[in-house]
Amino acid sequence: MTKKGIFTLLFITLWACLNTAHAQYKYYVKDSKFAMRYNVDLGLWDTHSLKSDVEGLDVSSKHANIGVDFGYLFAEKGNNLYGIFTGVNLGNSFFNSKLNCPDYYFTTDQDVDEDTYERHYQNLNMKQEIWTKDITIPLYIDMTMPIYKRLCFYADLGLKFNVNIYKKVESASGNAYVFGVYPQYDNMIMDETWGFNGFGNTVFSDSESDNNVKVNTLTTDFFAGLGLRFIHPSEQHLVWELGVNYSAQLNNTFKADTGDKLVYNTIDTGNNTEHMCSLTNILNKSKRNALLLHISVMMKF
Amino acid sequence: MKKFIALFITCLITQLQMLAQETSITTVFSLQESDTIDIYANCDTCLTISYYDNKELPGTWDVMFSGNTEISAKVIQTDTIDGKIVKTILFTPKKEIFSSVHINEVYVSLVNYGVTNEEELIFGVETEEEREYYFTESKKTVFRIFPAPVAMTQIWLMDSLTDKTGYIFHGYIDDSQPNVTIDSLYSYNTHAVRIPIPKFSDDISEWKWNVNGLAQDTVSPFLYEFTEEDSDEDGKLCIFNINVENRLKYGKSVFFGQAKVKCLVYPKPEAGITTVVETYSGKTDGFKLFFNGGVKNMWSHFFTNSDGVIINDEDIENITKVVDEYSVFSYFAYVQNGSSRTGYYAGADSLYFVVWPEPQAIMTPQYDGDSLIFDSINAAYSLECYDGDTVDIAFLKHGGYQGNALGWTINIEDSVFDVTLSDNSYVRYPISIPNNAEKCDDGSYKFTLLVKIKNSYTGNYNSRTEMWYADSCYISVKAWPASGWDIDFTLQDKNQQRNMSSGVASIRNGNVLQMICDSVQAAYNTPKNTISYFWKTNSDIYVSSKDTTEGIISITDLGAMSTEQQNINLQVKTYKLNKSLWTTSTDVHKYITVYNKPHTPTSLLIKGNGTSSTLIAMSDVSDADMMLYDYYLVFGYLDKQGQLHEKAKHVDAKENVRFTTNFSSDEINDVDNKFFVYAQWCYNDGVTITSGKRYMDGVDEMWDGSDYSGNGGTIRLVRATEYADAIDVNNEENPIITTIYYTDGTKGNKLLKGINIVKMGNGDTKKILIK
Repeated sequence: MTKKGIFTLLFITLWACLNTAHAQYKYYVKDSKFAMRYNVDLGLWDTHSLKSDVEGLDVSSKHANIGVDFGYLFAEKGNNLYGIFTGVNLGNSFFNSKLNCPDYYFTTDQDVDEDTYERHYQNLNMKQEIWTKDITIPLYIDMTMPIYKRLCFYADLGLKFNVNIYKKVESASGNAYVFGVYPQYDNMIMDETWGFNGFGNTVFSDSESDNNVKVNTLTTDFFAGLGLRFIHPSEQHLVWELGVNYSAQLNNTFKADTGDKLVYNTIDTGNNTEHMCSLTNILNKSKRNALLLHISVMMKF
Repeated sequence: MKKFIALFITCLITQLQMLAQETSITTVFSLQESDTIDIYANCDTCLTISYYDNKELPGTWDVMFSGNTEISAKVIQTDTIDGKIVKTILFTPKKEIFSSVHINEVYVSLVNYGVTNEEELIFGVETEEEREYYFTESKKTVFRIFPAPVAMTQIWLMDSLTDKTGYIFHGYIDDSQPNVTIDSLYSYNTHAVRIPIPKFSDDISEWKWNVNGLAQDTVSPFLYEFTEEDSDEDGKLCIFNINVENRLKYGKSVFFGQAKVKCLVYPKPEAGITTVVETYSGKTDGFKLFFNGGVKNMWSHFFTNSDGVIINDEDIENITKVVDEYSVFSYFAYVQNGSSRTGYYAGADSLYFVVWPEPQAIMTPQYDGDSLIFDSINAAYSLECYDGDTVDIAFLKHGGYQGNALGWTINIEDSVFDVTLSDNSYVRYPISIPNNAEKCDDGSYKFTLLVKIKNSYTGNYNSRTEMWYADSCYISVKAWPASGWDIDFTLQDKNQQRNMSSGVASIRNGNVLQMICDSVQAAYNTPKNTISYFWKTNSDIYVSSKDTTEGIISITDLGAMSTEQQNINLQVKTYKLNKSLWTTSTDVHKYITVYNKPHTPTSLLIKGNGTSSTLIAMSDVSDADMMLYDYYLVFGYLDKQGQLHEKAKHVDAKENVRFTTNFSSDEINDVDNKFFVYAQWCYNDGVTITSGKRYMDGVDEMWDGSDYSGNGGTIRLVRATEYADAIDVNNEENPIITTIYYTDGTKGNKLLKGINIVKMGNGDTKKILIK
């Protein structure tokens, strides 16, 4: 069962319980019009659904955000059972990508003799760590169902609008055996014995990284959350919350660019320079699909 | 009993006494013959009678006869031998001619009687009553009296030369010893005396006879053939003594007969003459009579011509006839010897004097259709030919003897070649270079043939061979030897201009192999013949009229680094002017190892814009195959000074390279440097085979840099373990390796198979791998 399925099942169960408890217990919260909600969401497991046409790519992801939401509460017989919220959050995502390609090759004209040839990176191994950061504006409806005096269920449902503010390949490494095949010379293979074009064993590091992480600046997440609220014993305006949120991103985090090469070289006055591209560029699908542990404190006033 | 015993003893004594009296008588009388005696009627016979006179009887002893009267008997002699009285009795038949056998019984009695008077005891006289006989004993003897034997003889003379043939004596042979004389006869093997001995036919006697003491067979007649030793031209006497003896088988009669034959013998007469004399027109010849033997001074002869005219001896011996055509002249000859006493030996024969026209001949030798006309005899002609050729020598001839005996003959080199010519024929003489022929500088031999022609005849009289006509001419021969010449050839690798006459004969596949026949000797340069050289390799046959032929050598197995041993065979044939085969040499062959060659690179390029100074070789062999088949690629260039610069590349799995960067941009950009690349295989036997050489602007497929020395001491066998460490190694010309360290740390001065660490002249060390 997927994370989305688990969350949906929990949500339906909780919703039914709320409707049942609503009739039995009196909620000891005074009626308020506004609320300010400080949130911390920590992603459980991989937080993104990532796919690529390139075999051998293995990417793991982490996500967390922190922020504050503001809400308007609708009172119903002395209980604030509904509210509408928005706010500002800072989202952080971490991607750890590994690529192992037996033979990565492409045609290039980056040759010391300006020949066009097929450049092969044999046993290409790449490893990159990438960070992205977003400003997230949530917009959601909050529902509360009293369970017992100071304890109630809550449920959130809404959207989050993410604006990317940071992207970087924090760490890059890799290696490959490079040689060239020249079709115009009867597919003659030239390798390190030739001594040019950087043929031979090549090691990649941060210095070879192009740091060209390409992202969608604005992304949208469908958002749903549920959990328990505890009314502080001594202060009824202070409510503690513990729950889980599910966030499903509606568009890709990264912009896929199949025209980019994972690695490539450039020749400048006979000198060869190797380049390493961000592995996120080869992700066809990079959507957040995260189950997050939600901890917040809400103050009503 | 006593009486009986006394009577018995009395009888016994009486008998003993009687026995004693009879024994005494028997022992004193014996007749020394059998009871039956055979005698001839004309022969006397004696017997003896003997006895002992023991004086016991008082009377007189005597012998008495009685019986048949056809024979008489009387005691003719009395002797006493060893106390025994022996009386010889002569029996004499009556002398009558008997025609049959008469039997007579005669009793011989020995008596002892008392005689009162001196009366003789005679047969038939009755005196017994008057005598007192004390002893009488008789024995009967039967005499068979046979008719007297008769011997007859016939003496024959057989003489084939005369008419004296037949009986010359016919009569009895008895003790009268008749003499037979033959007047004269010739000694000749058919002259003989034949003496048959007829005899009385009976089975009671045995005949014997001899001639001149030589016992003769009683069945065959005596035959004597006279010899020359028995003869003399004055007559030589020859005597035959004939002795005949006949003896009765069972009797004592013996018959003797004698005869004598005398002959006067002359030598055998002989006479002869050649009845046919053949000669040529104008030549003198004739008939000559000869005779010998016979009776001295009793020869006579004469000759006549065909008209019966007598011709004297001188004319008949010297006859000269001039004719224009074959002619025969007849003569007659008669010869005689002997007389009426000896008989006549005579002979006559017809004589023929055969005259042939005078012989003439013109020789016309021909050779290879070119007529060498001998328009006159005693001329010299020259002939240029080949050993073993034949020259036809024909003759225009006429006259002379043309019979079957011998006729025209030709003789070349004194019986070396001697044949009889038939009409309108020729002789085919095989030219053979004699041992003493003079060898010329051009390999031919000069010698002279002496050709003789003659017309002769072998007569059948005295086996005489006559040669009447002979002439000769000389043929000066210049002959080219056809046998005994050896051929040899050398092989050259035209691509490398390399002679393979010594060392290992090896060549690269596809190279042009030059096959040079270099010792055809005399057959070479022969002006009139043509020579064909038949070369044969494993796959091809080349026929050439020149001593040098070239062909592309190829092997069937075109696999990588394959080799094939090929047999290069040469046979040389020479042909005469008329295109006929003259000689064929013995096949000679040599073996050659053909190495397959790698493919020549298809092009040589400078990579891209030339920044990296990289040369690339293109090939129709894939890189994988290059690796699989152990290709080497050798890049290099020839600078304007003619210095060769080469770099080797080994195409293997690790270094799949068809390029080199061993040349600087200055070298590459120098237009005077002529760059090239070629492929190379290194065979296990140390031989390196290269492909053709590919230039940037073309290819030289003929080029061959292969090395068959097998020492591998060139760059082509050395590969640096790393591309950047490729080095030149040429220990012979420009040593650049100063020290060689082997993998075990020891030093050496030779590169070994495997890894070698070498210290270069500049002090650097390199690691090189020798494969």
